[in-house]
Amino acid sequence: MPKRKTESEHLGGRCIRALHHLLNTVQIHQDNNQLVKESSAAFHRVVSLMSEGEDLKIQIWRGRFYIQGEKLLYRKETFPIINEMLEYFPQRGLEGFHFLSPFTDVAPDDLTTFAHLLNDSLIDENPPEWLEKTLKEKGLSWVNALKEQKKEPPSLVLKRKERAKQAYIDAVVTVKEVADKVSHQGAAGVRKARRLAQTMVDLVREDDTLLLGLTTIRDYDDYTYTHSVNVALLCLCLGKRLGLSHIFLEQLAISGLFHDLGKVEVSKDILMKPGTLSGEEWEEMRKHPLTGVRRILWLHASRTLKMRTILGPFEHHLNADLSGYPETHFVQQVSLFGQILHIADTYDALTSERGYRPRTFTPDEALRMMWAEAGKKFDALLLKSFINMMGLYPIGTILELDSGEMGLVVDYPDESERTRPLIMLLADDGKGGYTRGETVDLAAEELKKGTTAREILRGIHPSSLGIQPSLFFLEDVN
Amino acid sequence: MKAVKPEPTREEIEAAKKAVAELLFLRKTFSLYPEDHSICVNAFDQFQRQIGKFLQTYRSLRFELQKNRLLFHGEVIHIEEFEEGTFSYTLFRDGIRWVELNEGISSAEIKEFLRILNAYETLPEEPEGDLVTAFWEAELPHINYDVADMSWGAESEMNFTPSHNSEGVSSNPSFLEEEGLDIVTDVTISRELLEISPEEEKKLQELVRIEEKRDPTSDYLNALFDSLLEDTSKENFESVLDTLEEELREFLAVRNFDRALGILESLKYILEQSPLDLPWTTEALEDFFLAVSNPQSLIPLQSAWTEATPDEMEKIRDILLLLRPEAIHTLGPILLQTPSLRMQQTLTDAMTKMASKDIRPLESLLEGTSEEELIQRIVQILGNLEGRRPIKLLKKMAGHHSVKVRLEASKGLLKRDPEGIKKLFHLIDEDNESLHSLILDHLAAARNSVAEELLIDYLEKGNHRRTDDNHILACYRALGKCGSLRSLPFLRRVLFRQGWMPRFWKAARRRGAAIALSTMGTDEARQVLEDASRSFYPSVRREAKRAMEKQGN
Repeated sequence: MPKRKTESEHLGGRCIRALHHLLNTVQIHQDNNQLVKESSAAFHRVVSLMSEGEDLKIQIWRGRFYIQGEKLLYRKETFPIINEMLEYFPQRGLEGFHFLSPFTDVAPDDLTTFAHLLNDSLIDENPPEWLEKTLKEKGLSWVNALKEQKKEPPSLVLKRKERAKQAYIDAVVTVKEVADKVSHQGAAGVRKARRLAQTMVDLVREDDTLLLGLTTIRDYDDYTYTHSVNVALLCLCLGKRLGLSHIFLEQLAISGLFHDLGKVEVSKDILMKPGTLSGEEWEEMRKHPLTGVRRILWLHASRTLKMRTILGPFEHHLNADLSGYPETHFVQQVSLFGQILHIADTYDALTSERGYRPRTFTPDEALRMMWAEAGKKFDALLLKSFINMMGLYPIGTILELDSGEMGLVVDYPDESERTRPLIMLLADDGKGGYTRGETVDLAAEELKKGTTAREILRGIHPSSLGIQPSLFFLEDVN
Repeated sequence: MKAVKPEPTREEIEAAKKAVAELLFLRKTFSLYPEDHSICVNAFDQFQRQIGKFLQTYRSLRFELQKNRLLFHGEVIHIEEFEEGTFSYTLFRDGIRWVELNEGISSAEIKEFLRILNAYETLPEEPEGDLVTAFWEAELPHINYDVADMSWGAESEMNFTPSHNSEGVSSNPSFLEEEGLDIVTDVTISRELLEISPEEEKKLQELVRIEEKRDPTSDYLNALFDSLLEDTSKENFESVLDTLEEELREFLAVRNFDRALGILESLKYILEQSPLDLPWTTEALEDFFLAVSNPQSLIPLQSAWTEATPDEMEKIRDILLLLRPEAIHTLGPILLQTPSLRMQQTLTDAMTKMASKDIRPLESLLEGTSEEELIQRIVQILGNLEGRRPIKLLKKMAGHHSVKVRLEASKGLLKRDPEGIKKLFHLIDEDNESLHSLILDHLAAARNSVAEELLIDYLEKGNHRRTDDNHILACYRALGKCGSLRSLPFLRRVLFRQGWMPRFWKAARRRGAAIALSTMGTDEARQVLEDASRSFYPSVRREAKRAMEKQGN
């Protein structure tokens, strides 16, 4: 079983802090000083713990630390150190380090030498090369310095983006295919869906920000399918935050993918109808959870998978207080899967264009509307976790700033700062559209500049500007 | 995550070849012998030595897969047939492009890897799982692999183009009906609200811990039950019932009687709630109960309940009581094969209750079988049923060629109709002791004028088939128990009679009359015995005195 995310995040932060401390203490004290010995031992401990007998890679990519390919989240109090280290590495032309196993055999004195070399590398014109050469000379073969790439190669992140994009497309196709097969052949296999869900779980464990970015994809014509995939992704991100195991995340993803399977039987005229639906039409719509149950039952899937998957279609319109639909007599409490799905489904629906309502809500509006129902329609703590995960202005929101600029929310690098995101400024491309501008960390800017930092005026729905945020997230993907 | 390695040396390639050969041999032995077999143990040791040596030097062993070949850095290190079951085929078939064994690999990981590989040697019938899924679920930390994405090549179908829409809130309050939310614009989400406290974090972890430990069966079944209550689509309704039928069978097969009972009780409730305007719901539910009452569902019980605990037995009884009377067809044969007396009783009770709702299945089972023991059991059940039809069947069975059946039928008839003894009185001449005793015991049960009359008539006419002394004495004893003053003249006559009767006959009758009088125990009967004790004839005096002595005792 993998370690819970919270634990690895905690270790990641500890690792950077320990390295920072070691680099500073060796500058101030003699090598035989107790403080140096302690900081060297602390760094040794944390790297050994994290590497678990394997290699450990610490990298910086686009202003973020990645440990073993996973983006490092950190708390506010760690931010100044992280920030300092984010500057320290590039100053030396380094992208990161690759610690080779078995790290446990590395002597503490060697770590002190390593810290000295790292500090001293600035004396040379070409620090990475100097470092590489000197590490070899000193016999420190357990570490490789990773040089900063001038032009980013098809990095792990880019590959991940490609995989994420493909997974998204495949997911839409799979949901369509399953719905179609169940409709016409009465049954469908779920092998593809499972493999896909596994890829999605792997992706969310590596970089949930990327997947949250993908959930901004909107396709009006194929609303049911893109919505299903978005809901699955949102569920996965929340499930991962909660610490669900990879097996449960897979089941949650499948439940999300198939939660609206029953809607395939609702007439397109109703689904796409502009304006208010009649009573009869609503009745038709309200049947979809029950039809969804039947469709899940028709899947060629194991009992266990069906048991978990079925809760998605059945419970996703049930509120925490069991109001909503369908009416329940036997169900006494909405399951955790059902509650997560309800939150994800509502959020995606509110932020999507729907035929029966003339306006789409901005992500922050949607969260506020949902919060007004905390404890009634939604489990308060789960919703709070969801909002905490999404941030006050969820990824994909367009922000209007007091500087007159507009920015697309791309991340919340600081784990404890969920109101001032990292944004990508949007520049007018002169053709009525927007291009990628500078990236600004609003939280970091506030810490540095105080009152002169940019302020957020309001959130704007991307569709009102004709922007598909996912295009910006996937911009470098072919 | 590995640093790019330089081209391998010949030595490395040879070492890889050896390690892979050992792996293939190990895999073969694992598929042929149990893991603890000496051949497997030796092969495992051999592989561990080889791979250990390799990884110590080269850190990792990655081999690429092609249809029927394994490659190491592009060089072929193994070729085999391209056919189901081979190492390369099994991995290649499910899209694995390469496998990498890394330093630190444990024996448990190797065994799990091989277990999965052998389990998926042939494509499983189960449509959802495959080798890749099994590897993914197992999370083997020192075994990496790459899988070809199951791409659908449908990129062009995706529309990433944004659409514009107008702003402005509809005046229609129902426009958020699907989401069930009101438009609230004045709610603010504070910075504090966005922070998850340690206590909340703990609560969430607990929530997850509970969820991951919890059996989802209840949630699943409850969702199915609720969908039945709510659904107005026949197709949906029947789908759910089909699933519940399978579930019930599965629960019975695995002795999960709690769940099986839960399904039946819930469906009974749903049946009671069936809306009048949807008559097909009642029909479908009735069909369900009929379907689960068939052998396919209930036969698994046969083996399960031989070891059933008292609690389980109780559950089984409740389950059976919820089934349709048609289940009798299945339960009858099961009854015969159930050694436990308690379980037999449970089954008999259930069958009785079922037959009391509808006797036809029991009747057709009776008509369709020639197995004497089963007929006997059925007749036993008939004896506990009310109504005219059971009596008719019991009467018919009272003439069955089997004594045991006749006995059960007679018991049944006598139990339900004390006066029915008139029709069964002829069985007093039965040679079978049980049947014989049944009639006599019934006659002797209490003072009863019908029994008295029958016995006087029988003893007086003397044209009975059985003439042995024991039978005669038993008849008189019975008369003593059921008789009244009306019997006294007859008994006096027999006690005092002399004349033409053969001695042996006279002796048994005289003794019988004396016994009857002593059994009767009334003053009038005692008086007759006292008169007899002063008789001129020694044989009369002797029998009277003996009877009086016994009475005195």
